[in-house]
Amino acid sequence: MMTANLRRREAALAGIIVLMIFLIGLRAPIFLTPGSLREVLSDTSILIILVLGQMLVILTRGIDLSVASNLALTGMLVALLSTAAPWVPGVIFLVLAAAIGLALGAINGLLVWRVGIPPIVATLGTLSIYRGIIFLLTNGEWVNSNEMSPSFLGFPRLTLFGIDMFSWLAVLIALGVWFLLAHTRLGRNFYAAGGNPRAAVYTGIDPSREQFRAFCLSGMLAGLCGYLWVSRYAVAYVDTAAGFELQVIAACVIGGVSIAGGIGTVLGAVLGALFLGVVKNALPAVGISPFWQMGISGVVIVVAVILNARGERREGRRILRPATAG
Amino acid sequence: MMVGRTIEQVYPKRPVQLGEVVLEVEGLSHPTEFEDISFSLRKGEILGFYGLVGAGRSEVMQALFGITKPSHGRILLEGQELTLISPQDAIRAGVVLVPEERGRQGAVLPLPIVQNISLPQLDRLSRKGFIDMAAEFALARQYGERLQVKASSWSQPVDELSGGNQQKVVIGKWLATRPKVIILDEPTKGVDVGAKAAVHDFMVELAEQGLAVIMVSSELPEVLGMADRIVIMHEGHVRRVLTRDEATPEAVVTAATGAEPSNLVRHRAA
Repeated sequence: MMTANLRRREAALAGIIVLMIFLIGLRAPIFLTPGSLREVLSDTSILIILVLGQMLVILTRGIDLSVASNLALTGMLVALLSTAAPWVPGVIFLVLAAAIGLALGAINGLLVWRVGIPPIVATLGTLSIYRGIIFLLTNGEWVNSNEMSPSFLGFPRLTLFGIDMFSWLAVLIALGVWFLLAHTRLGRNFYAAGGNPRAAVYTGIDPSREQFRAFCLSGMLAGLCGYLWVSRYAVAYVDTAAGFELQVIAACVIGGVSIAGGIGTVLGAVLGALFLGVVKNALPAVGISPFWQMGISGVVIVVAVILNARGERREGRRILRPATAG
Repeated sequence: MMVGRTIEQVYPKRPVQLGEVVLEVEGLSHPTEFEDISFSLRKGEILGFYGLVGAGRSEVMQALFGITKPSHGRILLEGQELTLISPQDAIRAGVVLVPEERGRQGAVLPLPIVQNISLPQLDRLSRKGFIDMAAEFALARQYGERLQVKASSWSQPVDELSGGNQQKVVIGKWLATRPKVIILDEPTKGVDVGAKAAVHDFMVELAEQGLAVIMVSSELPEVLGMADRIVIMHEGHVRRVLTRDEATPEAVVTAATGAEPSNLVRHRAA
C-alpha cells in the first residue's frame, strides 16, 4: 500500500516542512523555540484529526464536505450543554461530541449507502442542513467563553509532559487510524473498496457499505473536533469553522491521498496537515500577510496534483526483475 | 512457429478421468438476462461456455457467484442446494469466479500482490477483525510462487506488473481460497501469447487435480482446444451441449448464432 513513489513524496514533503521551519527560524528565531513549535502542533491538531477522518472517506472514493458543519453543530450542542449543566466533567463532553458526530456522519453514510446519493451531493446537502440547524437552535446567538463551564474549557488544555490534550489526541488518533488501516479488515476493505470497487464486489465487499463506515468514522472525528474547536476558541456560533472543510481536503491532496480513491497513508495525511499548519503559523511570524497563505496553499495543491500525475506515469511496469520471494 | 512452439503446445489439453458430479444447475432463470439454464459439471472437467457477445454467459456466471440473483432454478454443489446472497457465500461454499476484465473487476491495482491474493478470504485470515499478517504473507507467497508471478517483491503493487502477471495474481487469489469449482470468464482476453499458454497449462493442471473448471470464452479455437464439453448459449438460452468429439467449428458456430442447419435438425429428430 505504500509504494516507493508515495514514500518518496512523504520524504519530500517532510523535507519541505523542515526547510520551511528552518528558513522562517532564520528570520524570526523565536519561531524555533520549543514553546512555539509546540503551539504550532497544538494549533494544527484539529486539522490533523479532521484530515485523518477525511482520508478514510476519500480512500473509499467518497468525499465529506460536511465535516466543518458537523464540527460546528456538535460544538454548539456541547457548548449549550456546558452552559446548562456546568458540573459535567470535560471528558464527558469529548465522548458526547464524538457520539453526536458519529450520528451526523451516519446520516451522510446512510444517504450514500441506502439512498444511493453520490457522496459529494449528499454531504453538500448536509453541509447546509447541519449549519442551518445551528441557527434554528440559537437564533444566531453566540455562546461565549463566560457562559462555558471551567471543565468544558479546561479539559483540552490539560498537559502531559508539557504537551496539551489537543496534540495528544491528534497523536493518538493518528496512531489509531494507522493501526486500523495497516492491521484490520476494516482498513483493508477501505483500500479495496476505493482502489477497485468492482473487484471488491467480487471478493464479497460491498463498497457503499464501506463508504458508510468511513462516513461514520469521519463524522465521529469531526464531532470530537467540534468540542476541541469550540473549547479552544472559546466561542460557538453559526459560522464556526465555516469553509474549513476545504482546508481539510486540501491537506489530504497535499499529503498524497488520491481523490480517485484507494491510495493514501496516515503519514502523508498528517504531513499534509502539518504543512498547512506551518504555513498558517509561520507566515505571520515573518510579517507576510495571511492572505498569502491562501495563494501558497493553492499553488502547493496544484503542484502536489501535478507531482501525483507525473509520479504515476513514471512508475510504470517493472517486469524484468526476478522474483525475490520476500 | 512464430512463438517457437507447435500448435499442440498452445492447447495442452490432456484427457482426464472425470470424477463425480460437483455442480448441477437446474432451470436457472433471470427476469431479463437468461432463461432455463441447466447443466452439470464433474470433477476434473473443463466445461466451455461459448456464445456471441450478449448471449448471457457472464450473467449466468455472476448468478452462480451470488452477484446477481436468479428468479427461478436451483444450484446444487455436491448435492447440496446453494442459496447465494453475496459472493462471500459462494467463496465459502467453494465456487469462485475469475472475472472478465482484469483491470476493472479483477485486481485492486494500487494494493500489493500480498493484499490482492488475501482479499477474498480475509475473514479466514483475521481474528476479531485483526489481520494475521504472517499467515497472509505465507499464503500470498505460496500462491505467488505456484503461479510463478514475476515481481520484484510480493509487496509490489499490482499496477506495476505486466498484464499476464496481473492475471496470474487474480487467478492466484482465487485458487488460494481452495475452491471446488473455478469459473474463468475470458481468462486469456488481452494477455500475450506466452501468458496465454501459461493460463492454459494451468487450467489443465487444475483439472488434473480434480478441480471443476468452467471456462467462458469467445475464442472458438480456445473452446475447441481446451474444453471437455461445450455449452453453447444464444440470446439467454442454452442452444446445445456438445462433447469434445461432437464439437466441430461449424456445429459450435451455428448453434451460437441460433441457426438450425438441416443436418442438425435431422440429428435431433433421430
